This record gives sequence, structure tokens and C-alpha cells, in this order.
Amino acid sequence: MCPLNIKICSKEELTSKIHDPQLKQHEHLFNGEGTTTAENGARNFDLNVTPEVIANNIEEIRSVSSTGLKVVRYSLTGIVDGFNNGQFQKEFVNILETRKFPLDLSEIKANPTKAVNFFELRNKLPTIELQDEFDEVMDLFAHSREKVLEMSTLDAARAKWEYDFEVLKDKTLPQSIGAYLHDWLVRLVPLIEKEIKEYNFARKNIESFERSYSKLCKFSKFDHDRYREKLQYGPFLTLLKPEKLATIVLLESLKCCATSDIHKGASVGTLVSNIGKYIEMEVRSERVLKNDIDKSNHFNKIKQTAEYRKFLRSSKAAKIIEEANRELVGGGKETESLHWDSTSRCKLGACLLSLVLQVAKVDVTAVDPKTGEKKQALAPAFFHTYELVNSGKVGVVKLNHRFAEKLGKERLNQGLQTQYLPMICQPKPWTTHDDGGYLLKESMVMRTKHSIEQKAYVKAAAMQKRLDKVFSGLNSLGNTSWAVNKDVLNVIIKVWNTGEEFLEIPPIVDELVLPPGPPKGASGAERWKHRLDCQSKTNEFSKYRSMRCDLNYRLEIARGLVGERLFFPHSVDYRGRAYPIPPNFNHLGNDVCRSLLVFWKGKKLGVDGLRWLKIHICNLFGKDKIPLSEREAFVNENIDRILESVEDPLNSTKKMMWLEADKPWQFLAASIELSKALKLEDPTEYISHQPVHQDGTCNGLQHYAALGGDTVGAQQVNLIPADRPSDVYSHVAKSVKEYVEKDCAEGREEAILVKDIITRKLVKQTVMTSVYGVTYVGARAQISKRLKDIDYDETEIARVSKYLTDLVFKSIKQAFKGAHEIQDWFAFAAKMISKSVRLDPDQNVDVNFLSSVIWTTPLGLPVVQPYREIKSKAVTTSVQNIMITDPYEIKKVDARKQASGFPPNFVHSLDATHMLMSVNECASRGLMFASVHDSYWTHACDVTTMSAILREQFVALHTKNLVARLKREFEVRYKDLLMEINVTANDPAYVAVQKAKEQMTAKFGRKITMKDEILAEFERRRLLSSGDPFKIDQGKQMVTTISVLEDMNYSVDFKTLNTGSSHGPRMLVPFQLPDIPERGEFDVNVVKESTYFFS
Amino acid sequence: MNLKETYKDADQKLNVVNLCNPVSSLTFAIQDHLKPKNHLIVPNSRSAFNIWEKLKDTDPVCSDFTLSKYYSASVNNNFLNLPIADGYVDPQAQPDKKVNDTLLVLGNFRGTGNQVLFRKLLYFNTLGVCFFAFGNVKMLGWMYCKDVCKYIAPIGDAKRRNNTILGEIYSDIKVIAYEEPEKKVERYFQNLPGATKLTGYRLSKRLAPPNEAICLVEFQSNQNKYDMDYPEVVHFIVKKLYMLKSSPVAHCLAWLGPGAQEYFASKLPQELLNKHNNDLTIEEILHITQLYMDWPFKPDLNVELYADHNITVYNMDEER
Repeated sequence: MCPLNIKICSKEELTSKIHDPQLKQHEHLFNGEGTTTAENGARNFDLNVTPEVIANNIEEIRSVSSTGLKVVRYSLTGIVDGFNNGQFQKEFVNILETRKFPLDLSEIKANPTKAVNFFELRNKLPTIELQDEFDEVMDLFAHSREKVLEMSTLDAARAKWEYDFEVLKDKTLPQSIGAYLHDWLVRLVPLIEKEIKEYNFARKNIESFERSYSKLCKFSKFDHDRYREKLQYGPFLTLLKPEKLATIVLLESLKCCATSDIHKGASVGTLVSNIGKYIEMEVRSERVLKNDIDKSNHFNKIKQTAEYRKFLRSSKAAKIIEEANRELVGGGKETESLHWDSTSRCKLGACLLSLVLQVAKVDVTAVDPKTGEKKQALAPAFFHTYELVNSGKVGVVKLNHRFAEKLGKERLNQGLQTQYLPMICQPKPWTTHDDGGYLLKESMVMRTKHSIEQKAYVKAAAMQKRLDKVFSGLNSLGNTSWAVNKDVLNVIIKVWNTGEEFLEIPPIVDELVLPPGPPKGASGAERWKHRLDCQSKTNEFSKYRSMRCDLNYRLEIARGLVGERLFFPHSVDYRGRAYPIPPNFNHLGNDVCRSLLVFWKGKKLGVDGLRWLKIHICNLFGKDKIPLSEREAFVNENIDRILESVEDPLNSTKKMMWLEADKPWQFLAASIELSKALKLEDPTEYISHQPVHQDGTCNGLQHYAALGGDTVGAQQVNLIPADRPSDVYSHVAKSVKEYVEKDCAEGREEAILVKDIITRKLVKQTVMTSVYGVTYVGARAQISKRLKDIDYDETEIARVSKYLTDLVFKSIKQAFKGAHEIQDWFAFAAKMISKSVRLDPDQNVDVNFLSSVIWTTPLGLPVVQPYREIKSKAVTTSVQNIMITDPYEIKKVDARKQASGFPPNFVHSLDATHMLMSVNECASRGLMFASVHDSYWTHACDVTTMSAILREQFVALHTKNLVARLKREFEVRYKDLLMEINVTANDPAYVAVQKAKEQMTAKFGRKITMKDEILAEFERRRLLSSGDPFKIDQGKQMVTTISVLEDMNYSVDFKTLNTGSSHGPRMLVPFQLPDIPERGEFDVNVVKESTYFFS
Repeated sequence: MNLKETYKDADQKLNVVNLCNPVSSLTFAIQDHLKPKNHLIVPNSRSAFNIWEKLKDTDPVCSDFTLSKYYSASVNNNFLNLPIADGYVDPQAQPDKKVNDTLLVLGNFRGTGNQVLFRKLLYFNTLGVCFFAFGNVKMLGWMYCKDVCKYIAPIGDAKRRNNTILGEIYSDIKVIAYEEPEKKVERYFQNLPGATKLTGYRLSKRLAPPNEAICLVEFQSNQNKYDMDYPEVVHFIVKKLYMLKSSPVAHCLAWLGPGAQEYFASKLPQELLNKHNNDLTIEEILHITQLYMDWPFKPDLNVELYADHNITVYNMDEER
């Protein structure tokens, strides 16, 4: 995140700022001559004015009026800025002409500042070779243009506030918000100065009083406490000038309130923390600049070089550089002595926020309900209130709704991250954990949330060059080039602009109109009905606005990027699953988003490709459970309806086929592609850009079946070759039906009640989530919900849902016996790990302070489960008491989540590994590849090759015994841990341990605790591993509760442990795991021959 | 309680709905004493259902009970619709009578889960739905002494908060009988009009653990107690004013909207502004509501009353 570098400047200064050499930083981005985009740094971004859209011959999108949308549009102007006021086009045209490209470039020459549709231009070239050469020409400029785009996206997120601030110095500017900001700033600065003065006074008087040990204080207790409080946050107020503090708090308050739902307000906790955080960042950034700007700049430049990165990989170098960095950032003594902890940040933020609440006033008008007169007043712009959230009180700061209207009426999307647009050049390749992706913006290869452990593991693995295969997979995914599907975009825009509801596009609802309230004395039922009506209308209104805003952002981005070559830099989540970094527009989105993307590079369909395109269309229609030949035949039989859809997709007189599809927009996109191919004399000659998908059949269960060697399960998830695709859900439904019929014959009441309602849909969700460790209670809730959906007799739901859940679980267990045993083993192992105790005398030993489950994927990626207990603490501030959680505080692991999360997370890490292995292989064979977890995309003509690769890699992955490998890893990783287990009182091991405890008690002279046991064992191990024969001997002589178990060659009887002996005395034993379940007879090699494994 | 007097023709028209009661003397006493026309037992769990089912088969008194298939946790605004449709109960609306003699609700409101149910019923009463749609319905229930304090807390007491106020506006809540209460809540039971202290007497062990004193509470719905033009707004005002316990009124008023503090300061007497929220009388709250409705610059009421107020609280160092 960028620190704010803001200072108050006059109008003249503002003008001169535009010509400031520092702001001309973009100049070096182009090698060519001419003007630059230096103005970017202070472009007139005005909240009151919606920036113009890019002129690119695409119909304008009827936009929702929101700040978020303005930010999107502002960001996208970077695309046009990237043309460098026409310089780029001129050079581009020059090169194309010099290289004698057979293209008509007159239009570009005539309008050099207009957006160029590179995609169409490129596709006009007759050969693939020429198209590739065209790409090379684009590459000459791509990096420079990307840098400008990234500059503008960064600015859009930040500069709009800076700009507002800069103009607020001048009230005469037509900036209603800016004028208010100016006024608030003027009022705020003296209040901050007063606070600082009071702090200085408190420091002088209170501290000297406390040092003097005098019992007489000249202040009352109230004043003493007040001044004492000021001493806590006061020092931080002195680190920046009051003007800068005022600016940060004003902008952050406004931003936080405006970007959260106006109705709901911003949580005070979040707001004050953010204010504190921004001030801290600003202090740090000032410090860096003050220390030595040149040194810092030089150092930063060195940091960008490849040599530096290589050097950085050695751990020694990393240490030196980290220390240097710390010194550089830590800077002066003042910062060193101040600890920026979360409590200080909150108190500082709250102090400044309370001042803002006092000074920020706006003019409002309203009608007096009694007299009907129009009234005008100066009212607070923000107000502090409380809301009930999940029965708890949350303090919030809300905007005055009349002032909020000036900012835009609808919900603003805080998650909107316009600084992360798709890239227009190849992403920077990942070389280490924090270097790759965007050119200017720092990205981490793994999204770790607040897991410090995970960050450390990934960094260590990257340093040891163990992540190279992961990096290469991500780089290949990032290098897949995309273009916006203009044909589909045009149809969507047409529908969008009507403002009517259409498929998943929500309608425009401008105003919230609520029904009139019931008359006085109305019955409770009437009042209740009115209340429900109002609530449902309000929620629907809010839902539609929010959905329309979200889709609007996506469409606006798509529109702005028409004709551009796009790349999605990828990173992984903590399990290794790859995700594109740009959040708003990518191929992982919904049906609309997916339909808007095609591959930049086209490939000739060929006979095979044409067949796969048809199969793809059939899959999108929803018929993906029939043999491939039937899918192709389905498209051939319905070709007239498909072409009719393409011809006039929005024809209202007929029910078009595409509207009946499961994924209508993608169906339309693929149909358009097919129709274009069919227009050719030889459709197989058509150059296709359409991604064709191959989806796994319940991919999690595929991995489980392979792990467990389950033949029946493998058959149901298409790991075994068959003439027709199997459907695991139908299989389970059939199995449940069989059980029910048997029970009916025996006259079981529940069976008779449900015999006619067993369908695939009833069991689907439970089967699907069984991979993810759905609990019995969860599964029963799913089935109950399904029963409610089909209007089943409510009085019987409780009874029959229990019966059905039992049967569904029984059927899954029957089909996936091995997998089920493995799932149980995973959960048990995770439970053992998370409930183990570390031998660590440095920390306050607590049996509940336990280890996370950590494992390494076959590609070398370390996975650390982040589940730890949330620990909050209350901070008293001037606004209210705030509960905060400090992400960097050491917290206990959440043993329950660690255990329940491990089986699905492990399987996710396997599917991620399979995907990365496949992408590496596809890239080496020159295939274009994209993935949405278990859905793999490539060109139609390459589907056969990709399919073979997917199977090869799956076999390669599962040929090794992954569970045995995992067990070995756990045993090595956790060998020093101790587990606490329940035993029976007459267990010989327990008797021996008790004896050892008695000896220790006698030695210690008191009853020993578990901590004593742990420390004694720690000491014994330390002595044994010391290398000093004398100490080793001492260690051998020591008797601990663990050494007696070792002497007995004790091993845990997991059978008893598993069968519920949870009562009885507890005892510490060395970490051990039960044997892994035996693998079934399924031979994974047959997957290579399975047509429907992915199809 | 004069129940015989109140429910004169109980065997002809009284319907007793018994919510999640364990097998207790009250259930049997009411059945025995009033001999109601219908007595619907609404168990709170499957196991309770099984117990009652067994009792019905073995105990002749219980054979008159009707066992509900719906559990008390599923009590909602139209809870009685299905039992009425099934013919298990047939209460009549009696908005003008002091006590509805066709419906009596018995309940067990001991413990956290059952307290949630009681608050839900209190809320239903404010809206006049569920059992209270029939008007002036009486409810008798067991409660822990420590829990009942919040419904009977007098003016000025720290426990006098929104539940007390909403209870007071729409009903009359009184303690009928109580065991020796814990020291810290003793004061709430001193001088309670009409309440009987059960000295030296310990209610069934089934009803409460040894250290928990329990009491029998009468909740008499009385929706027309106050004449209100904007009941929904009254709820909103009460909710806001009692967000924090024992806070100065002037401070609490600030939470009603931007500039509310200044507005009310100009409209309300200083004496009232200086009070704490737990000192407010119902009349004063209704007056504040009226002033709020007259305020031109009040926030958008539609949003305040009906929008879903779930707020996302972000972690302070959330990564972008």
C-alpha cells in the first residue's frame, strides 16, 4: 500500500506541482520523444464528475452513479494515457509500415489519440506467423504502457483523495466536497495543535509528578486520568505536522464511510485502526525520505535488479539486507522509542476521529414535517452511533445521509481494488515469494492473510529454490494472453442498457419505494406484514443495487479493455490453488465474465477442434452426462436453433435456445464461434479463439478415490474407462433408493415416507460436500433444506432428514470405503498434531498452545493451516471502547478447525498440484492453458493433447503413495512433540509413568505439573543431543515420564484411542501416528484410458 | 392468581399452550386446577418429546395433553396457525377483555436458550403477533430470579434497559412467587406487590440447580396500555437509547442521528437531559419519540427501521 505523501499547497503550488520534475516520473517510461503523461500525478479527478469513457466504438454502458465506478473509469484512462498522446500510435504505425505488415493503418493515423483495437488489427493478418510478429511489435511497447496503466490505477485509488485535498485549499474551485474539506481542515488543525499542547502539558506535569513520588497531585483524579490517557497517544501526534494529521484523518474518515455501505456506516474499530495505520505509514515514509533520499532511491533501484534477487536468495544476504532495511526504515531515535502497537494506533485514531466528529459540518435542507416549511441547517457530516449486529453492539460512524447523497447514493464497494486491473503486458515472472506479477505493485506469491507462519515457510521454501515448479506454473498461467469478446460484450451492453432484469443481470431500481404504513390501531398481523414487506423491499433494493454495481464495474473494465491483449498475473492461496490477482474482471468470474474472455491467440480448429467445440457447446447447455458422440450429435441436431440464437440473440418473439442453457452467456459465446466457423467453406480452417473447457467429475472425490484405491468410487467419478460417463450423484441416489426399498419391505415408517422423493438433486450437495468434510449435522441441514424446497411435510422433516442423512452417508462410505478411511486418518492425524505440546521452555507452556498442521505439496509448496483462535482485547478510547484483534499476536491454534479443515485442504492442495503439473507440461508443449480449479481450458484443437496431459499428470501424481509420504513428513516434522492421551488406570505404561512422577515429586519436593514433565523431558533431550559425553551420560541417567515410556518401547494403541476411550487418566507420550489405511485395488494407471475423467 | 375466576369456563374454552416445560408441578396443577379444554405441550427437543410421549401412555393425567410435533425453538410469528388448523387449540381474539380467557401460555424460561425464547415472545408481544395476536393473553413461566430482574427493574436501576421498557410499554410483568434470591439480586424482590416468598421451601430439583433460585412470573399482555402513533419508531428510539447501560440521556440522544444532540438539547428540559437512560419514564420516552418524528433533519427512517444492519468489521491489518 502506498503511503500518502500529501502536503498543503496553494493553488499556485498546485499548478507548479503539475510541472514538478518528481511528478514527471512517468517520462522515462517511454523511450520515444515527445510529451509524457506527467499530468497523471495530479489529474483532475473529481468525485462530482464521472470521468469520460474510452472512445473505442463500443456502445457506452448505462452506468450506476457511484464513486467506485468513477474510480474504475479513472483507472482505465491509463489505457489511453498509455498511448502517450498519440506518440505510441505513431511509432507503432511506423514499425508496422517499416516491416510491411499488410494492414490498412489509415484510421489509426487519422485518430492517433483514439484507442486502438489491436485484437481486430492482428486478426486481419493472414498468417499465424505474421500475427506472432505483430505480437512482438506490441511487446516493444507493452511494458511501458503497463507501467502507465499501473500508475493510473495506483493513482486512482489514492490520488483522487489527494487531489480533493489539494483543491480544498482553494474554496473557489467548483468542488462542493472540497470546499467542505477545506472548512473542516481549517477547524481541525487548531484542535490538533491544542491536543499536542495538552499532551506536552501532561508530559511535563504528570510525568514529573510521578517521578517525584509525591503523594500530592495538583490535578483531580479525573484530570489525572485524562492526562495519563493523553500520554499514551500524544507522542504519536508529534511525529507529523498537524496539517498532515488533519488531512489523513479527514480523508480516511470520508473514504471509510463512503466506501462502506452508507446505510450501515463504518465500524469505529476499523476506522480508528485505519487512521492509526495510515499515520504510521506516513511517519515511516517521511523517515525514509528524511534519512537519505539518495541512498534510499539507489537502494530501491538495486532492489529491482535480477542480480539483487539472485543475491537475495542466499540466506546470509537476506539477513544483511533485512537489517539494512530495518535501519533505513527504523530511522531516527524518536521512532525507535515509539512502539506502533494496535492499542496506540486505536487511541491515536480515536482521538483524531473524535475531533473530526466535532468539526465536520455540512449544509443540509429538509422539510419540516409539522409546518411543511423548507428548513436549512448546518449539521454534522458524520455521527457516531451503535448498531445491533448478531445481538452484539457495534459502534459505527455514519455519514449524514443528506451529505452521502452528494457522494453517490448506492452502496459503494469497499472490496473494489481498481489498482489491480488485468495487465497489458506479460506479468513479471515469479522469481521469489515477493517478486512477480505486476510491474510496479508489490505482490506476494501467496495470499496468507495474517499467518506469519505461512509467510515464513513460503519465504524459506522460495529462498531454498524449492518453489521453482510452482513459480513456473504460475508464470505460464500469467502468460496466457486474453482478449475481450466484443461480440458478447455488445449483446450484454444492449441488455444492460435496457435496465431490465435479464438472466443474471439485475434490473435498475432507482428509488426505494416502501408501502405506506398501516393505520393507527392496526392489528399486529398487519403491522408484522408491513414490516416484512418493508424489510424484503429494502433488502431487494440493496441487493439489486449492489449486484448492478458489481456487474457495472466488470462491464466497464471489459469495455475499456476491448481490443487489448490482456494477461492475468496469478498467485496462490495457502493451499496452493491458483487465482488471478485482478479481482474484478477475470476468467474465474461468473457466467457473464467468463463469456467475455477469449484467447488472444487463435488456432485453426481442425476436425478434432470442431468436434470439441461442439461438445463444449453441449456441455454449456447442461448436457454433460451423456457420451461425447451424443453431445456432438446433440449440437448437430440443434444447429438451426443454435445459429438462430447467434443471428438474433435478443429476439423477443421467440424463446432462443441460448436462454435455456445452463450457462447461457458462455453458450452464446461458443455458439457465435461455431457459427463463424460454419460460415467458412471448410469450418475446420477457422481460426478459433474460444477456450474449450474440460471439467473434472467431482474432482475432490477423484483424488480421494485415487488415494484410497477405491474401485467402485473410481468408477463413479470416471477414473475407470467406460462407454458412458458415470455420475456419482446418481449412483448415490440409486444406492439410497435401494436401501429405502429394502426398509419399505420391512415396513419402516421413514422409508415409506421418503420412497418417492429420492432424487439426484436431493443427495447432490451432501455428496459434493462430503469431500470437504461436511459434518452429520451439516449434511442433515442440507437435506432438510432440500426437503423444504420441495414443500415436504414440515412435521416430518426432522425425522426423515435424519433417516436420509444416515443413508446418504452409508452409500458414500460404501462407494468410497478407502477414501473414507483416509479421510478419517487425516482428521485424526490433524487432531493429534493440533493437540500436541511443544517442548519449548521459552514460551509459557500451555497444553492448549499447540502446533498448526503443516505439510508440503508434491511440488514443494509448504502449506500451513492458518486456523487460530481469535483473541480480542478491549481498548478504551475517546470515542468508545473498541475490541481489536492483533494479527501479529501469538494465538492458540483452533484444534477443532485444524482437524476438520485438514482433509479438504489436503485434497485442495492435491488438486492445485495436479493443475500446476498440468500447466507446466502444457506450456512445455506449446499449449495455451487456463484453469478454474478443476476446470481446464485450452484451444479446441488442443483439447485432445491437453486431455492426455491431464491424465498423465494425474497418474504421475498418484503413482506415489501420497498418504504414506504425508505420514513420513508428519513424523519427521513433529517428532519432538508430545501428545496427551487418555489411558486406563491399569495400563502398565501409565503405572510406570506414575512411578516416575512419584520419583520426580520426591525430587522436586512438590507435586509435579505437566509443565515440569515437559521441562524435564526438554532438558533430557538437550543433554542427549549435546555431543558432550558427560552430558549425554547425564541425560541417559535422567528419568522422565517420557524416558520410562521409551524404555518400555511404548507405542500408542490407536484402536483403543479411536474407540472412544476419552475418559480416564491422561498421560503425555511421544508423538506418534496410527498406520495409514490400506489402499484398495484400484490401479491409477487406467486413468490414461478414461475418456470421461475430465470431459 | 385467581385463575379459576379469570378462566371461568376453562373446560369449555381455555386453551393452554405449554412451552418447553419440564415435567413440573405447574403443568399438572394447571391441568388439575383448571381442566382446560385443550392443553398443548410444546417440547423443546426430541428427547423431551419422547418423555412426554411415554408419559401420555403411562400417566392418566397426561393422557389429556396434546403433544406438538413442533418444538418450542420453532416458535414464530404464526406459530399457532398449524395447531389451530389441526384442531389442537381454538383460541379466540378478545382485544377488549382485560384477560383473554381462551388462551393461557405456560413456559419454562430458565437458562440462556429459554431466555432467548422469552425475549422473542416479548418482541412478538410488542408487535401483537404469535399468541398475542389474540389480545391480552396471559403467560405464566418459570424464570431464574437473576433473569427476571431485567424485566422488573425499577426506574433508576442499572438493569432497566430496553427489555424492561418494551415489557413495560406493552405488558404487565409481575412476580407471583419466588425462592430466596441470591444476595446481589435481593433488592429486586423487596416489596414486590402480591409476590409470595417461598421461605424454607425448595422447588423441585428438576427445575433448578441448588444454587439457582427460581420464581414464577406472570406476563399479562396489554398492548393498549399507551396510545402510540409510531410504535415502530418507539422501538427504534428505545433500542438506540439503551445501547449502553446507564448513560446520560444527552449522550444517548446523539446516537439518534447527525445533530440529534443539539436538536434535543433545544427541545427538552435540562432536567431530563441530565438524567441517565435508566431514569427515563415511559412517558418521557414517548415524548422523545414525538420530538424525533417532528425533527426535520432526522435520518432516513426507512433505512434505520428496515435495512439490514449487518456491518462487516474488518481486521485492522487486513491485507489488500
